Amino acid sequence: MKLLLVIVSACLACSSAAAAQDLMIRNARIFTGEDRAVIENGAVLVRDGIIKQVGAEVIPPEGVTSLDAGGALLTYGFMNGATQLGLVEMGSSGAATDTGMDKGHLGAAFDISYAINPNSTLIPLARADGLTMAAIVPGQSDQPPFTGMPALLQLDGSGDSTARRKVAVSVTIGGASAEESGGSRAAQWMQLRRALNEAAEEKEERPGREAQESCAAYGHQALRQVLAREIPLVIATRRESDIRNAVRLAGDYELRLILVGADEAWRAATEIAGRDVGVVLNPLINLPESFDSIGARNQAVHLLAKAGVSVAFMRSGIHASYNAGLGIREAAGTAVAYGMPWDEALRALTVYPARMWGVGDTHGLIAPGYSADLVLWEGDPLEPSSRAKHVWIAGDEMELTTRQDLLTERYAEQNGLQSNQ
Amino acid sequence: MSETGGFRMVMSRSVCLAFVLLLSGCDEVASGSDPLETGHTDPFPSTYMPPEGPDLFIKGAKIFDGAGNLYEKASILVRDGRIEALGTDLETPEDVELVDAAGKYVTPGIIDPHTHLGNAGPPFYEEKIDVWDVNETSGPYNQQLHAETAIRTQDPTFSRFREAGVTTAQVLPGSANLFGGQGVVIRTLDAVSVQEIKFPSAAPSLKMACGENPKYTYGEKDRFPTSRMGIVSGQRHVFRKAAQAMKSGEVAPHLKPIVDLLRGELRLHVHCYTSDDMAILLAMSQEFDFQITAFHHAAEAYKIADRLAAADVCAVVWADWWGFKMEIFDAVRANAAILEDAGACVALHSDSGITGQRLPIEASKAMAAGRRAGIDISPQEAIKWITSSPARMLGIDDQTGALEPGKRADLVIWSGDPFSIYTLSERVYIDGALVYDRAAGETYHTSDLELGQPALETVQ
Repeated sequence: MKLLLVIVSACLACSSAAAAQDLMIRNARIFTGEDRAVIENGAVLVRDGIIKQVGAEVIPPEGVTSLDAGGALLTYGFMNGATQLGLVEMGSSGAATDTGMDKGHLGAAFDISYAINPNSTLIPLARADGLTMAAIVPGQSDQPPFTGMPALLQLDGSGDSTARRKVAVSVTIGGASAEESGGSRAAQWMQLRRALNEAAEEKEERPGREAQESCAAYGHQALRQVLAREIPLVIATRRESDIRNAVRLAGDYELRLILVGADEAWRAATEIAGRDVGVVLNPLINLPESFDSIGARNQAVHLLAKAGVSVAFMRSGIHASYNAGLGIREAAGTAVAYGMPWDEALRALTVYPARMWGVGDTHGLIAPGYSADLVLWEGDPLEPSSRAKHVWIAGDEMELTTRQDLLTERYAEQNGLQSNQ
Repeated sequence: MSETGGFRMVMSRSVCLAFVLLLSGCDEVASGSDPLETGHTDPFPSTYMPPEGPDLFIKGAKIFDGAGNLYEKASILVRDGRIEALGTDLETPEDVELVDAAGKYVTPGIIDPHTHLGNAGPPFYEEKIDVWDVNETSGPYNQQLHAETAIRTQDPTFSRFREAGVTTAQVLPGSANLFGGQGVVIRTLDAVSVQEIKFPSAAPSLKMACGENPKYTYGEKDRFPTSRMGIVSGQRHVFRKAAQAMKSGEVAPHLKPIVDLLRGELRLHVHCYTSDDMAILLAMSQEFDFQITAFHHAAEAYKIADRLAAADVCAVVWADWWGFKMEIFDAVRANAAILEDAGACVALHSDSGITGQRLPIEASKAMAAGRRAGIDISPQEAIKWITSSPARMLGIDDQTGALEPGKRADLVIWSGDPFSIYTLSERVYIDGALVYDRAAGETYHTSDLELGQPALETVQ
């Protein structure tokens, strides 16, 4: 197929192993993520994988490769606010799905980063859809309501793509998960508070000898980081009462908080706004999928953002990981259809999740000093029919051909298709 | 008065051709002295009464007619719930309600050929599958069951689909069984029992399944079948019995639906993902001489696009679902476009309460993937994947699915290009009656479940 060959050949320079090339992208419509939303006919200069200059007046230094963007939109690489990319490969194989644990003694300290497979075929597809970073949230640990410690995955295709390990402590609370905590969500909240209290009271000590004690101590170490605001507490929960419990808890312990899949959070938007609370949400959910999400509605993300809450996008079900890139673009477009301003939706794909997850100083903005994770778009990225023409991570241009492209090419040819040849 | 009058069979040409091999001609289906020739029975007949509305003149819209055409600044005249005329030079009549659709788009009402509206609905998505009413799992042969007997018409998904422009949908039993039961075609209207919304004159349908789902369902119970080999041998066994029964004239009730299928009186919809499984089913259809109407989910249909085209078997596919089990690991986004290009019949489906609200976006993604693979599908062709193409496979293409004179006025006025993520439905009509009006502030929270729910109240 002609087009696919073009894709491959356009990226002969791509190599995940090569050192970042210096690069200048000019004649682009740049969405920086900062307040001044778009720079027309702008240029970005990248050196050593870092953005050096951004603006309408950038003079290309000698010897730097220059790319004419032809007026196309350049954004920061998108970030999925909560996914299991790299943990799931093929759903009906237990061995190819590694999202959490149910036996052992790890609890809050369960570090999911070891389970991430950078060679997962889900990753190149998400990258070709414009995703450069993802927050990887574990599904469960052996000590509910704790699910473990999320990680950040950089989609650069290198053998070790985990950008940051142990970036938060995550818990799941609600009707569906309460069974694992003795049958009540009340017990889940009590267990969480007790663990935070114990961690706060326990002195900094070397872990004890017995495995269980030692791991409990590791769990307490993780929670002390949460109490010290070094990392956020992530609470996956849907019902308004649980969302209010979470906000109250964050206030009581002065925590940084990320709410994941918080369908009814819009009902507490004013209470959430003005605190250090981010909300990661799927605006496609407008059905009462359980009695915990009677209030789910398409406008939820917009209502939260309008109230001043920092929001990011996720998808659930099949699209949570299998379409981790296209899925959140469709989510953002849907949020715009239901009232969210376009530039706010783009920030919720870039700078807001980066700040929420603790990498806002280095990722999320097209500004000097930030990692050169950039996407040049053919069309509007919030339209699912658009595509990424070029993707760079830390200044390296990424290969965009996917396993699906190769399957398409193989069988389209076998079927004797001659279109556009 | 119900609209049905009596059961009417609408067969596609290919079903008819398969049938010709058995008897002398299609017209003989409902006649003759053979006790078997009584036609397929319908124990739960439609009592559908079309909603009523004034005659309409929708003016000045861009119109995708669902039959492959795009009209600019065109108008549609609706009288007595039917489309009377469509064109760019129609005179505005005086005795009808005028709807100014300048700058808007109009499409036929969307048709979803694979849903579980009412039989696997919210608020139980987080519950075990046993809470749903989609599969009988006491044994793998359930051809005598009817999906409509499990439909909860107050499923909140109905109102979401209606708002999203879906006016007609097929509800099927699940995929746990070799023969899962019979499907039903319904309107997305509020009701308190299913017969009120049952589409009159839709072809009766039977669901079969291949591959992983039956295998795992019974494998978990350590009962037959636990493998693909078991599945196929079980299916052939039933077809052999049905063929013998048809020959002898003594048909046990549980074999009647299979005999009806062999006689071309049922449409067969097969849950089947891989090219291997589909090819085996195609061989089975030749061995026992029945027509497969469509393979559903058909993730690998693109690998056998030419064979599907030759056998006149439709592929019902998703735009971008993949990976969640082995049999969908090879799904590609260009599936629909490759099939279309090979001349096969294609429709998109949801199998999901969320995806079913987004079928034009699914079509948009599938069209874009085709373009990337070098296959240009125009929007006026792509809209057929969610309108006239599913109408044809459900046997209702003489009634709906395209904006053509004489057909039911099932149509949607969109705020903009229906293939854009920013577009929302503005007005939805079923049988010419306005059933959703965004400008009137209508929401999708109309189910009984959602009445008096504090969690839905506006926050000041």
